[in-house]
Amino acid sequence: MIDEAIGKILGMAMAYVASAAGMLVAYINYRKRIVKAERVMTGTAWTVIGASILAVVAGAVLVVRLAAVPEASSEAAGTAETSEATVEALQVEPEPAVETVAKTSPPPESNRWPWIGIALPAAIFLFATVVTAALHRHFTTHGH
Amino acid sequence: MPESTSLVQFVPLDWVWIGLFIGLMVVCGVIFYRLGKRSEADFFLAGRGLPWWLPATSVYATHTATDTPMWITGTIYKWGMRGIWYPFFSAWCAVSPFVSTRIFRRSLAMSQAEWQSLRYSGLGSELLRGWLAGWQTFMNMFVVAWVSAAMGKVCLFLFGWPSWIGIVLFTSICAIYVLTAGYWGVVMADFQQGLIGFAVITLVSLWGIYEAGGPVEIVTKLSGLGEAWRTNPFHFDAFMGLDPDKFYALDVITLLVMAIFGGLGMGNFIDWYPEAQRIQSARTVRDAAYSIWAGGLAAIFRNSFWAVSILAFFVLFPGMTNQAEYEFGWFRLGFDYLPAGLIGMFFAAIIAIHLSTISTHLNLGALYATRDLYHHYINPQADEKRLVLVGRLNTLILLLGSFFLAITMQNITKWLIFALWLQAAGIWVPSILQVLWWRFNSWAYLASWIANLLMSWLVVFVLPTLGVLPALPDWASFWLLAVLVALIYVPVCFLTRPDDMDHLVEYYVQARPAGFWGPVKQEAIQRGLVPATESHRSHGLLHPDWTPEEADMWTSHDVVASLLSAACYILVAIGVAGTLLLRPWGYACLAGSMVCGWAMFRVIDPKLKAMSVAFEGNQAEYLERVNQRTRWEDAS
Repeated sequence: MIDEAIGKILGMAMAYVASAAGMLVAYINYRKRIVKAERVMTGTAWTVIGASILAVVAGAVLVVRLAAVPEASSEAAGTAETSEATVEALQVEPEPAVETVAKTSPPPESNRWPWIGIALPAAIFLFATVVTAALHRHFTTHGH
Repeated sequence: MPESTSLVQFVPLDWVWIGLFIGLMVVCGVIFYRLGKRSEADFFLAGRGLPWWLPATSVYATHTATDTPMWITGTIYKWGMRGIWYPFFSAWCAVSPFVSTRIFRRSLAMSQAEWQSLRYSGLGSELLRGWLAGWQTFMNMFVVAWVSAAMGKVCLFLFGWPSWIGIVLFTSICAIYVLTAGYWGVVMADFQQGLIGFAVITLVSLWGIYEAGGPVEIVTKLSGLGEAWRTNPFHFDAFMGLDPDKFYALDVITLLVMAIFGGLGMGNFIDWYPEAQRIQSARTVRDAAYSIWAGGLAAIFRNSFWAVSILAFFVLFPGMTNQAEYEFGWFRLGFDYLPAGLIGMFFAAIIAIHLSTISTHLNLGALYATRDLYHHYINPQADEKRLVLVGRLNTLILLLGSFFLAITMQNITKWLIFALWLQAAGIWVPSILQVLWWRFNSWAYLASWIANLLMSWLVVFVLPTLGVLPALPDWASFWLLAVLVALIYVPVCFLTRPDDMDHLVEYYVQARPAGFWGPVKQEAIQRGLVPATESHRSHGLLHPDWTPEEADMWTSHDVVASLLSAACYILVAIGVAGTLLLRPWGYACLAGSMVCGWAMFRVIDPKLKAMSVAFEGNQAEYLERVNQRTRWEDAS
């Protein structure tokens, strides 16, 4: 498992690369199909690409160095507090979680109204089946 | 793995219901195989012919992911009823139906990336389309990985299963119908999953309230605990401040402004992208508007049920301080208190919620990869059969890529939360400007995207680490980023040329955008493409008979409908929660929401009907033009 801060940077980098690749394909197509240029990549384009790569490398070095500073990753997570907490929640090891639940759970009274465990799901299942059949019939026979 | 790691014990009846419901969900999608394979528009938009209630349930189902109940539970448990405003960003669906939804549906763009090339012209528009297509393809794969990883951990938490089982098993089940039937399968399964999910969320929430002693007992016990403030959605610690442990009025104001005004733009929120697909799959402009409105309202309605049930959970288990523990509160109401059989249906509903999110993002990612990257850039002359095949291949690639990310590099997906949040900050205003202001050009929007990504790293990561900035609360980061990014895109906008007038006129005539389009409108009038009539000004708010020309114009009816809709959303959020607690203010708000909803319908529906009929008359011609542009045929 890779470090969290590096993971964030790697994820960001992968998305940037995908977006930049999309932009590059767009540029090549524009030059080929609209400008109808003989030489697709101009000097300016190469300069922009080179400068972008340099900026990305410099930024990555800076961020990796900063990530080595303690609390760096928690600072970054501070603005997405609630959602990050969800991440933490999801990463709870099972054993401690069971312990805490065991401490706080009341004795469940889950055997109340046993018939409802059959009747209610059956009703919803039946309804969902009928709706599915009706939708299929409607959309396959009405020229959609 | 120790035996005690399984929190939930299923009886055979539970497994029966889980098996039956999963089977039904898969069959519901797969049986639309024949419709899905007909064309690219069928595989990704169900042929653009759905009535409003189908995309509406899909909007609702998409707004409900596996970790949504945990997020809302954590928020309400910590902040009480005032926490209901955090998930209120869904309220962009209150204003959008009458502004951005209407404009986007008329553009007929299959994706938001395609819309960029219809709205803007020249190299900038193509660069934007390529950028967004790459971003969205990858982002959707990340979302699938993220949600699958969450499911893997829920299964680990509940049953003690190795997390890869939860990741691979349920996402693969979903892929069966996404691969075979495309969006037809997605939207039909969403309809069913949305209904099952809504029914079970309501049931579990009411059950939890009952177990806590009922509404009166909840309020009484909260008072006894000295926590009566928890029932007040407007209980603020102060108007504004920087302490992240306090709840400020400015937090709510920021959220309301983001949500309500966000409905004017396109792409402000990550939710816009899947909803854009639903908008375009609706059969008319009117259906598109109601699908977004109803889907968003259902999400607000659902949040209120969750909120009150979490107050019940608080009464049952007060004083928890470990967020990792209390965020599972709503799940525990179901698993601890439901009887045998219903627990199985409850877990089936959790799977339904999961599948509806996964299916949407698999199909959406494949849409951007197929329509924008493959069809527009790689093989513009591809026939429908090949496009459907490529759509399926892209779905498969996204599926496998998401497994790889979710299983091997889970820390990478943590980046996603940061990316989703930052996306809403710096590009929030530009996403509105591109809809409302003719002079806002492609270079400015592109600059805002790139500047936003850089600035957000600076503001939330680099500068706090260097000690230049403190770690800021959400509202402060949002407004700071909005200002910093504006310092980039505003000069770029004025230092670069406006988009080509012919292109803008063509877009204006078809999409009829709202806002500041004066010079373009004048040009369209001069060319005889748009009538110059102003007769609508004499119409009253309840005017029943609109001519197509009048209905195409922006009038006070649109503003009034938007305001009534926003009021309806706010009153529903408070009213449903208050009613569940048997509070008189709850009844009043709920009644007020019904009045607002009814008035909104009376004001806007005749106009939407007239507009839809007129637009449908020209839709085939417009659609052919849009497809020609994707095939670069307009370039020759």
